[in-house]
Amino acid sequence: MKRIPALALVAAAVALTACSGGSGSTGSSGGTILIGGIAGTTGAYGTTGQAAFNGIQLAVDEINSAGGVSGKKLKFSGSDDGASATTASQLFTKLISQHAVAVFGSPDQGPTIAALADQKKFPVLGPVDDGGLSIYPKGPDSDPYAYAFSTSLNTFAWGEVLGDYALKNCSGLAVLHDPSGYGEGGLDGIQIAYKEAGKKLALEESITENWSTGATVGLKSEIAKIKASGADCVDVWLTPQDQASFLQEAKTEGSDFTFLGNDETCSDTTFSDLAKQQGDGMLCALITSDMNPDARLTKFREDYKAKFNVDATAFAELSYDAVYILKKAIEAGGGKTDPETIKNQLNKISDYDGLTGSLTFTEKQHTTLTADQLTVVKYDSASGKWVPAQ
Amino acid sequence: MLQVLLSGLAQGAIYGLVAMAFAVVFYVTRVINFATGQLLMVSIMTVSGLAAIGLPTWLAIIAGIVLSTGIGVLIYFGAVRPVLRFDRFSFAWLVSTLGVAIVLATIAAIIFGPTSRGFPSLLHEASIRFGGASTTWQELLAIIVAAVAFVAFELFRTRTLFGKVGMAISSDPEMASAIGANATAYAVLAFAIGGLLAGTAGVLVGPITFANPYLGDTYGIAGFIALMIGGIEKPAAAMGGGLLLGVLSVAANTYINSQASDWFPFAVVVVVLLIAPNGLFASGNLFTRWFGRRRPTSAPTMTGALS
Repeated sequence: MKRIPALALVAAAVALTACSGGSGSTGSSGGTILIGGIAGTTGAYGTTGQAAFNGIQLAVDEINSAGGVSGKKLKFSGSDDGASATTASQLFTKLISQHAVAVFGSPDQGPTIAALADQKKFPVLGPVDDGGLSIYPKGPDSDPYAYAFSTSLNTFAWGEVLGDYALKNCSGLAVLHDPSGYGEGGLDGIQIAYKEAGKKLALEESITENWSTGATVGLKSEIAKIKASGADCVDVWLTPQDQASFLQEAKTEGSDFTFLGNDETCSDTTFSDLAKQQGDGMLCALITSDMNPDARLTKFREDYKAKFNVDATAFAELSYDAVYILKKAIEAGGGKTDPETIKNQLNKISDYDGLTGSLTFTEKQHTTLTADQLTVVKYDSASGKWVPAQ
Repeated sequence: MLQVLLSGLAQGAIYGLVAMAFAVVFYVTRVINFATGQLLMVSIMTVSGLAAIGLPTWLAIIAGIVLSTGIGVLIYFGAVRPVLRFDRFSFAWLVSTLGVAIVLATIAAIIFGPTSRGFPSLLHEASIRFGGASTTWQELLAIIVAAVAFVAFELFRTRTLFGKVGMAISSDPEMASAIGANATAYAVLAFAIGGLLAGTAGVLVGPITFANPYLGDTYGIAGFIALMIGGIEKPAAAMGGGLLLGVLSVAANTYINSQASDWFPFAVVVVVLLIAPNGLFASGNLFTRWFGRRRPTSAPTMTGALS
């Protein structure tokens, strides 16, 4: 075995330390500030990740055209995690070593990225999965990860608003949910409303799903359990294809449950395309500002369509908002881009007027979208639209 | 109980058809085609795509099954025969068929997009009641088709000269070839029947699962587990494994908890491999020995694949 000179080892260690960046780095170099993006831009969730990146890029271009942030241009570097936690964590480490000041994402690997943010003490924001347990890993009553800030859809908020609707309109609610943080987050949100009202769910069942293709076994056996529980409403907190499949099974059987969904149900056309007429009456919640777009949101959608030739989605809008929130945080910190300063300034973002509403972070609140910003909607198969539920 | 049985048999019929597709290919060629699940997906995506552009549903169904059958044959010529000609005793087909599976799913995702698409509801919107249980005509059709496939294949295998030559090839390909059997033709036929069975399973399950380019993984794994439970030695045994797996999965979901079907089939496979390593319904298994009906059969071997 060859001996390696001690000097060479020291030199290598120095070089590695220089490359590793981390919390000690300045976070920007020369005239640019690097922001990273991690999202699945291919595969089953590819459209969501691409929308997030498009929204970020649009905001970066606008900000740079207007002079940048504290005299520096923003540079966005987005990478595809292929919906893989391993890839996402590798990309996260790589972005830190490249002196990025913050990471946006991941819409599909949010729990991994948020946990890494906490571990590395490095700010993560924007489309961090669907908020909820990704940001508050110990539940809605606990503290959030200190360095994870989500402007994304929020399972707690969607669960709470749908739970609240069920309390007012159902004699009993059954919840079918997937066992991941997404499904558990939705259940936690529903439980916020039910615990506050001092009521209990009629049934709660965990269903394993393949996130690309849906449930791994038929859902018919669940119908009998729901009937036996006495519930007249079912929140099917599953993938849109399983929601459509379950509605089909239940309606073919002649069951007359009222069906509720989750934040994915009405975020795109997957559910409505699959369920068709059988989806009539399905309940969901939309961001209120999305339903009644003001002039700024309308312009954003036009610009987005012109630039990317696809319609903007909520993930594009909330990612766009996140870039402007980061800009505000850096400027409020006097142009400093170290992780500690950015985190502290993000905690002070108050009532930022974003495309997705009035957005606030505090030390305890690290998700911007709350139940107050949502409207319960119902699918009208005749018009193919989601209309406000009565 | 009746509901569990009905739902389980409907689910198991699909698993059984996929397991039979695996088994038919293995029976003749001693190759496991790991792209079998993707052949199911090909038929689903084809029917979905053609129906969406306005083709009559029956024509889309025929096209879907024909395409999955044709791709089954192409897999033999493109991914199996070349590697076996290079080394008849190698396991390179394992990698090449897995590669085909990935390629087929990727191509489908590129053509149709990665998310689920609609599928004609066929008979799935009409339900029928038996006692206190209910099923749809689509599920009933799946059970009937599985039964027909089972009987037809066994009759074909045991009552026709063609089938008997196939049995000879599966037992001893060298000897069968020496007496004039065209082993290549039988291999092509086996891959075609495999594609036909998987494609048919796709049409039967499409109204329930909708169309998704990644469905092949789910049903490929389930079909393979069914194959291990029933027995790899005979296609009919594989169908038995599928039906048993379906009933056990639904029963586990109903009587244990709604996630039990994730681990229960694997537990069953372990138990089966311990008590009957060749499968529950294979000849020479523990049960047939108990009943004194053991016949001398050679254990299945993965070597000597038919090129």
